[in-house]
Amino acid sequence: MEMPLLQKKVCLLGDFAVGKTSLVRRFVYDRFDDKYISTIGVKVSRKSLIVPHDGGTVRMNMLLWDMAGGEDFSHVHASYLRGAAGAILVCDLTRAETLESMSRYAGDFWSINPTSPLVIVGNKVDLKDMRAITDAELQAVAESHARSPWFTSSAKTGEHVEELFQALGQLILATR
Amino acid sequence: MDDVKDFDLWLRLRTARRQSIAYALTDEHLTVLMCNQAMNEWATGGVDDLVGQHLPDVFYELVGIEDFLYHLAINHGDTFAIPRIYRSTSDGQGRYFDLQIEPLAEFGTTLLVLAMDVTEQALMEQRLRQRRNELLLLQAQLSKANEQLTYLLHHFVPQEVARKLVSDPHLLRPGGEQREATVLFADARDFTSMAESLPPDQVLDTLNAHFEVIADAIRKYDGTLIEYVGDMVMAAFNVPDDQPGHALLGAQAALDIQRGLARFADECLGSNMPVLHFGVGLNTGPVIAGYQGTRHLYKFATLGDTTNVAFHICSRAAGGQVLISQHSMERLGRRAHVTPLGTIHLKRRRALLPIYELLGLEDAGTR
Ligand SMILES: Nc1nc2c(ncn2[C@@H]2O[C@H](COP(=O)(O)OP(=O)(O)OP(=O)(O)O)[C@@H](O)[C@H]2O)c(=O)[nH]1
Ligand SMILES: [Mg+2]
Repeated sequence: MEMPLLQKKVCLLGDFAVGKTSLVRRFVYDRFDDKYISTIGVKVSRKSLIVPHDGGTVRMNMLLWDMAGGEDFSHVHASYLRGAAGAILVCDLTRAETLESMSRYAGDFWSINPTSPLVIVGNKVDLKDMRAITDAELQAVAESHARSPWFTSSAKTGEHVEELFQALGQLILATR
Repeated sequence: MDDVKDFDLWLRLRTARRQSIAYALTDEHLTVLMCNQAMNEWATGGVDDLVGQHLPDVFYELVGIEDFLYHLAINHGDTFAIPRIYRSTSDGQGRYFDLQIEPLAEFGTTLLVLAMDVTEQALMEQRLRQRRNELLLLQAQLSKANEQLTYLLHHFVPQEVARKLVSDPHLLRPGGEQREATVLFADARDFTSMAESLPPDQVLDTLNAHFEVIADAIRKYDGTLIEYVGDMVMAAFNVPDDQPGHALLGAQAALDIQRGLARFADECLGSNMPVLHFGVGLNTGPVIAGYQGTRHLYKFATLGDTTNVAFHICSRAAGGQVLISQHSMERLGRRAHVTPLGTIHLKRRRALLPIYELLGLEDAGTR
């Protein structure tokens, strides 16, 4: 049976150096690079995934918007957010301050796409000794943002990377 | 009239060409009506000819906003721009363009799509942002390391000493100053035999629980915890900062230690925490206060005869008892309720030392 094709825009949001580019790189190319190169503007990558839905499956092309990480109090360019079906909010588990910015990104995103779902991600979970954000803190932020699902991930090892994008895919289908 | 409109469009496209701006014209459904060569090159992967294509198929940046752009074309809304879009290049450096979409009201529902090469500015911004972000990360790392060091400092060095060191790091060098101090020792009785009967992990827990009570009493009277040695606690008053009435503070702390330990023993009844009894000794006199050690390892210390005597007096105290020296007694004056216990003889010393059991203090007030 021919599966219907869907194209969905997804934004990756979060402070600089939390691992947005690395998560996209792991998900799309299954690669990782230790070197940090800050993103300028936006780079859109496409990844096709099969998402279970209504007892069957749907093939979805995700257009992943990897953008420059914000600085304190700065807001994301509204034109980058327009038309997004969902967003992934990323923080760095080794930097507590990156969790605090989450509500700002959620606010920016929902002001343009009020009904689109979010997934909350604490990245760099492989750096266990440097951990500065607990599961409970991450969960609390997820709860307070429309009970969004949350993950701890590692772009370096690949832990939960596939799962978090899958989760967003399913939420997007559910809110259509 | 039509000529004017045509001229206007011609002029815009010509200007675009002049400034090597890529352009395309689309209908309200984003199907490309015409474009220049430069526009083909910005398409994802590059294409030969965009004409007839659905623009979002080759500019993924437009996926999701098709409806928005349809309404822009129909309603002649404001120009919409997406700045700094990245395209990879074979040299790995990449190129950037600003995408701008404006409705051409004069031509019905046509949209003019412009792509302006901004690679140079973007690469410059990238270098600046890179440097700034790296600095911010470094700064964050440093302040975290600083926090950890402060924590260590405050837990492995007496608090007053740590505070002084943070405000004036130059103080940290071997050497010390002579000053008067009241030195206090508290030492567990029969600890060794008790320790042998306990599982090893319970030995430290037991000791620490009792040290907690002792340290609380010392802190209550602003004493400086100098160190824990085995089953013994050492503290000093009037060190490193001036504390007028330090003998009295020391005596109050000493009595408070015994009161606290008695309370703690009551609380331990019925639990499996073994109860320890401590003897407490107090002496007042000149000490050398400062950093002892080598440039490899420093330790804050209060050294000298006053300390040695305090230690010996403590060793004579039975569990629950506070013994003080003649010097401390003189400082306390008539406030002190004491029982003279005769004299003790210290090794390699001719003079005999009178000692007193401290029973209580009058009018000193407790904290
Ligand atoms: N150990 C570890 N390092 C990671 C992980 N994810 C990213 N990094 C590293 O963190 C740094 C920043 O990663 P990026 O993916 O560039 O971060 P970004 O969020 O895209 O940053 P901006 O583009 O500046 O907003 C890089 O040095 C990565 O190698 C991870 O899961 N584990
Ligand atoms: Mg990035």
